[in-house]
Amino acid sequence: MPRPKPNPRQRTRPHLFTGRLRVAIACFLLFLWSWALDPVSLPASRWQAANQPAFQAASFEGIIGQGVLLGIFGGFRSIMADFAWLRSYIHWGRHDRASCETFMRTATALDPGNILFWTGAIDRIGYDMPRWEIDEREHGGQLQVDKAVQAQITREHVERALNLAAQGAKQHPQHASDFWMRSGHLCRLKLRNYEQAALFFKRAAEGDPPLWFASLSYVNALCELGREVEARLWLREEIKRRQARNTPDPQDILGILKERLEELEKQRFNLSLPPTL
Amino acid sequence: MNREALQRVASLATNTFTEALRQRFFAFLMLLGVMLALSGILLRTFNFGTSELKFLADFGFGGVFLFGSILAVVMTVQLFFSELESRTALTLLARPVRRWEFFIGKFFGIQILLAVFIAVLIGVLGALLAMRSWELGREALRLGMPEPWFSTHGLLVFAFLQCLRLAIVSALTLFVCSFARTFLYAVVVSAMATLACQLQGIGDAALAQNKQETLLHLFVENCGRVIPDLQVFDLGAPLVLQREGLPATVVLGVIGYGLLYIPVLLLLGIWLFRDREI
Amino acid sequence: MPVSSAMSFLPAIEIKNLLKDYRTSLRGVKLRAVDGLSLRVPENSIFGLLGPNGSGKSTTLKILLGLVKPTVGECSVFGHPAGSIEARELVGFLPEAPYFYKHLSGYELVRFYARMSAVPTGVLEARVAETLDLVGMTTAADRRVGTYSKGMLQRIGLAQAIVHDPQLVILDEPTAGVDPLGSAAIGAVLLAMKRRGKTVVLCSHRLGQVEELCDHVAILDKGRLVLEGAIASVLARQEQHVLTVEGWSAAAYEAVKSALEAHNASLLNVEHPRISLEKLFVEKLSRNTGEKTSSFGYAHGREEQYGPLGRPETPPAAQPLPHAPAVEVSLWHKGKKPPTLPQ
Repeated sequence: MPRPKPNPRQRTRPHLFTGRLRVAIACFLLFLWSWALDPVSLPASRWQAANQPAFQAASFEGIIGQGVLLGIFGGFRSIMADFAWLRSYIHWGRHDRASCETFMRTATALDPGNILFWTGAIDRIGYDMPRWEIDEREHGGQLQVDKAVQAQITREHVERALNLAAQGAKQHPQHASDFWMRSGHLCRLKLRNYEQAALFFKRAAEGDPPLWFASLSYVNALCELGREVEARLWLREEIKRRQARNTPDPQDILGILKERLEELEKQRFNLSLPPTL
Repeated sequence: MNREALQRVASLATNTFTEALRQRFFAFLMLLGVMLALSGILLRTFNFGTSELKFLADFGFGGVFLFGSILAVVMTVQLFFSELESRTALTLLARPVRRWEFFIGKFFGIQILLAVFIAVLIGVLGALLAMRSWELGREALRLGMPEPWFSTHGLLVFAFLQCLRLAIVSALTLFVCSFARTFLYAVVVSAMATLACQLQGIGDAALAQNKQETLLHLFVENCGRVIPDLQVFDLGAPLVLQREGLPATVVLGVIGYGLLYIPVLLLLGIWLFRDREI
Repeated sequence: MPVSSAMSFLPAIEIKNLLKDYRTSLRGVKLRAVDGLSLRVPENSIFGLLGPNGSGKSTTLKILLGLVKPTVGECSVFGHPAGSIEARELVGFLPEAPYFYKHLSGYELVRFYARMSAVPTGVLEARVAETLDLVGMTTAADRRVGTYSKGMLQRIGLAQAIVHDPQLVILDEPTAGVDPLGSAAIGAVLLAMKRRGKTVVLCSHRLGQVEELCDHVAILDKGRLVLEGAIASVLARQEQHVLTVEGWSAAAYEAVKSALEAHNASLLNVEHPRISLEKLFVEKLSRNTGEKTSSFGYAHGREEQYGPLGRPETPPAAQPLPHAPAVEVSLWHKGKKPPTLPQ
């Protein structure tokens, strides 16, 4: 039987749109559709850009190869940050400064939105790490190491903690007062810098939202500096400001502040200055 | 689309679901997801306070996304390719079953499976959050601290959004399967595409920071446009743990994005599959 | 589905100049699987499609079913373009070495395929039960398909192919790996289908069964049609005749020989007629005693007897003499046109 020649008119498949060309056309159509859907996804993208801060890639320099990249690329930023924080606990228990700080910074970089990571890191760097380093220098720790050297070590760590607090306040403006409060305590307790501590407490007390216990801390810091008059005048104004705000006060913070003012007034009478209330 | 076509799609979907349910891989991933969510219970030893709820939620969300994505990609490829390789597709497509009915039936069968998976994991997460929230609340009340809080309504909305997200993943996988020749190719390409979908937002932000006016930069910037941006679905924390929640426009925008992307992926997949030789 | 009057004048399958090339490499080298095939399968027949492995049988079937597109050529099923929905509604298909959903029971599987073929809901259950009974799978219907033997799989495969009562049934190696009893049973089902007006296309390497069942055959080789025709005419040696004789004796032998030589013919061979080994196997081991053919119930209660070709036979009028068994005599005509034998 002779072989029939293919008759173009009998072709049942079109010449165009076959195989790979079809796939390419489909990909191009997806590309166009993605553009078309931009307005639909815009509200979500904008909200995320405004409210979910981008992670700070520069902080990963020391930790690439820890599986972090895979975790991030897999889209598990939050959970990787949590795991990093949990690992930092392990190294905190071992007093391993370098590893502990590495994982804490990883956690803050991956998930800057979690305030626990910032406040925990500040406290550990400011309070725990100076002690660890001092213990490393000499067996017997603070009894053996020279006081000047201890002060130097403490100052270095506290400065790093203060820098971290400043970053945290910028990252979380709604919790800035909390960061200033911690900064104030670090200055007062570790550096014995009451001037600087007072400034931080004042910022916390006058921040938004204001921390009522920061008001007391500021007043106490001023008293420690010998500036009782300034403390009393400021507290008086603070009470007026709180009364003007007229916000609900279930814990009677105003009452606590008034009690402190009364104590300061009693002390004032001991200094023979005219009463003003 | 007549009643018979709908019946065929429903039968195919049910058959796909019952076949998938018996796969050990599904049970294994479900178990892993539940275990990851439950492992959050160990966090009470760290005494995080009310922040513990964030950790619990992150573990649960991560389990849903990680294992859900693996399930969506692997099971979709498995259920699609098994029909072609074992030639059950021959007996099906030799009948008056249209290619699009086969395709859509497979898709819906997989969605039912994913919905069951998400429902179980979110159920476990919700129970865990409720339990710890109650325990932490009592402790906070005793100490005069702010009580922990999470939103059940937000959790349900999150579950729905994850269903949409994984539906996009499985629709994308079916699109790849429509022209893939082998199982391995389909799994690898689909997995990489899913990864790229999740990275798109990060890539866009990085490119925006290093803006250049070169053709290469323009090409790279637009390459990611072929795939959907799945990062828009990362709304778990604000939905579940923030009192102010999310603006309605954001949630509706994300839902609309998913509902508009999925049909296009399916239509293009059907178009490619229509003339595929079985 | 009822057969329209128009359909009764159409061949069941018509293939015109079918050509199918597969692309085997990026350089464009093509494999020609079907090469200019033209074929007609008459309605209400059992058609055997034969050929060695790689001859293009499966490709041709896939094109008929719309699973593969032809490069060139036209195919139609009862007048409808091959692969169209209308064509596929009329076709039932059992592929070679079928694989079915193991998690379903036999009943669920057939029911699923019935739904896929749009069997009306009102008759669905009855149709499924009837089909399972026809293929002899009623007792095993509740077991999962994953537990079935090879023969049971073939039978359940046949059930899914015919559950929607198609006009055309295409079977690719339906008896592969099946024992002779099961194979005979499947053959009986095919004959029963033919009696009901259906058309069957059978691809098989079991030539004995094809010879027994089919009315027409076509042989393919390397994608081309080598031979096609009615089974009786393609197998017959036109230059020879066979007489089946009873009461043979030495005297009869001499007389026949002399008579043939007088007419310029030679007596080539005298031997006893043989039945096929398959038929002997079935007769000896058939579970249904008293039945002339093995079936799963289709012949029950019928007064007519059907031979292997489905044609009714009259019962034998007389028994041969016990001392003179039947013999076959082959005759050959030397150079002359063979005479027409009386009907």
